[in-house]
Amino acid sequence: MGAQDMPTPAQVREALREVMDPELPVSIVDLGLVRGVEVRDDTVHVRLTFTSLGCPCTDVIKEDVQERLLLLPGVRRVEVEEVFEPWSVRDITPEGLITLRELGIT
Amino acid sequence: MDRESFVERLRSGRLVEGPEHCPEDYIESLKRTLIVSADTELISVPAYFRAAQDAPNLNAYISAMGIIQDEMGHAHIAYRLLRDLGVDVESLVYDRDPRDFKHPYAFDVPLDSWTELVVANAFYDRAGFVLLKDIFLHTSYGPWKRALVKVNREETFHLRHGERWMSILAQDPQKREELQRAVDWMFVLTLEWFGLPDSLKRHKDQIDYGLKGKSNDQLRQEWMAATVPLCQKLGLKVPAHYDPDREEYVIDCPFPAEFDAENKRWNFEKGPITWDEVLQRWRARGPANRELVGQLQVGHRQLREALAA
Amino acid sequence: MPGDWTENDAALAALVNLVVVLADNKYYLGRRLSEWVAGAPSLEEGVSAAAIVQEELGHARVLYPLLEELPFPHRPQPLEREQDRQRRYAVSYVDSPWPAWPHAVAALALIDTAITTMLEHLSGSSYEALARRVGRILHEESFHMAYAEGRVRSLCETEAGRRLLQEQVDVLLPEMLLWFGPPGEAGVEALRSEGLVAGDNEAWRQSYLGRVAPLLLEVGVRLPLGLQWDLAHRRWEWAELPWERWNRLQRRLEKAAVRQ
Ligand SMILES: [Fe+2]
Ligand SMILES: [Fe+2]
Repeated sequence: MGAQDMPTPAQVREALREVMDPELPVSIVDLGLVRGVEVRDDTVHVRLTFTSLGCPCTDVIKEDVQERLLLLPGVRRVEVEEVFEPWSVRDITPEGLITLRELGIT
Repeated sequence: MDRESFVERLRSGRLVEGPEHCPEDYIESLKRTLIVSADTELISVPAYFRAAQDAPNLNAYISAMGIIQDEMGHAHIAYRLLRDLGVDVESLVYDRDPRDFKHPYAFDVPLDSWTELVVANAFYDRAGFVLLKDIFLHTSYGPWKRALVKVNREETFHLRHGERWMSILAQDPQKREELQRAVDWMFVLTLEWFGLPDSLKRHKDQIDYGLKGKSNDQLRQEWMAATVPLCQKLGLKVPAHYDPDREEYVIDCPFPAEFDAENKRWNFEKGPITWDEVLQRWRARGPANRELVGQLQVGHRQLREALAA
Repeated sequence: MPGDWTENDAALAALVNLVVVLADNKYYLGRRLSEWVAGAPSLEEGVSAAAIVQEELGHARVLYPLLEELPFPHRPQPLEREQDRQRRYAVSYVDSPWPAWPHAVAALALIDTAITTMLEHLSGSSYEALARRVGRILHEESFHMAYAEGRVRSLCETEAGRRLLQEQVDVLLPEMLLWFGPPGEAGVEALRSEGLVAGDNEAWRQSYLGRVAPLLLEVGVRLPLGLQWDLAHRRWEWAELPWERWNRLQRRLEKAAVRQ
């Protein structure tokens, strides 16, 4: 399978929009947790940060990312790397903020 | 306002925003419902904590503490609503005799392992979720309805956590047996949670007052509709199945039945018992009642004793 | 990727020790505090304590993997379950469950703050993987510090509460002063020479005292060890510390004298 068959980083991000935070109806992309996407050969490398180092959902989120990206055509391996970049409410996208405000959060 | 015009107003969909202008028995009924909910959330804190000591790894322990924090927050929300209704919450939480707490009997049976904890997250939190969703959809008390948005969202993570771990454990031959044993005693105990069957009890007041929407049997069905397929998917045996002709779930064991709490075992061989006998067991409370409530009260009591000395 | 300093055995050994000491202290602090979530004096305090527990354990979670990437032969195993490893690199105060809530308050005020003081001297470390984690940890710690201060103040609102805290400060503060190590500690000199850590044992201890002592004094807690601010030398002074009971490898106070 050649590299041409692989999704672009933009397509990977689009797919990650379907991975929701387990506690909020907002995707991990809109929450601002996705800090980088790389596609090499048949491997997708995702850099993630979490809302807190003590986040109780780290395993679940990593698993969901794996599962979703393995559904993309051509992807054989998914590497999730936790980066320790700071996260704050300012990292949430406008769409994410609208959803959260409607729910009365933040 | 008399009862009739008050009930009429509720029927038109108006929400109550505070205790003013409400019939006395509406407030009393609301308090009773809130206390059950608050106590249930609160007792899950020491109950889940005890079992979390057996967490297989650090991440698992962190997740359990996250759930415990949520539960304590839920309890706090419900007690705050009670305080706004004029209840002395401090003495309600810290002075009450353990036997007078209103949580379901299931929580008085100690959870002793990670396996039992994750089944509790899947079964008990599902029961809580079914009950709270009903309250969210039907309650006439505005402040509670709004507070439940956050509560229900957090509960979905607890369910996810429980179901995810059940499926992890189901893949390990040894853990699988342990899992089945937990399901065996916890499934029927959760069925019991929903209370007397509709043939024995009607909640006319609670339903009239918009504190409850569905009946006990309807809620029990809803719980089974989520739980039975989950267990079947994981290859776990449960004493209930869906009957397409009756279009409902049917319980396949004697129910209600005698429960041996010390050994976590149902004495099905003795056949069904009466609900009066169940109520007796509930009133006597279960083996962990004193220990768990004691853990909730210890810090407050120690400080108070130090102050008095 | 580690830089040149990986060739410096003394620095590497000290770094491995430092990482496991930080991680173990956070791990056990989190475990001990978790035991007081249900029994905290109020629901609000319990909820916040539970949040702090997750973060302390989360900090341990991200520090432990560093042990696996450091090229050193005798690395302690990360802790998953509490009994995983015999040898503990945490202060003795977190060895076993605390009998009362004021222990939790003292631990948050004195242990958590000590770890944070240490981390502040690591935020510019030449060990980049550590420095990156430290930045994020420190960000979360500012909330813990505020919480600890609030608990100290609320406990000391009453004479009885203050007495309970005083007892714990008397026990714990000496161990925490030891925790920063004897002046001019060999491993620390190696770390400094490689730019792995800023400051030194004495500077850390002073900076720690500058943070915890004023609050204790303000709420009426007496400082043990004859601790006092030396105006002329602009530094904290104290009587002897029990170095003979100091276990320098596990950085903890032992009950009996330690043969080093
Ligand atoms: Fe809850
Ligand atoms: Fe829950």
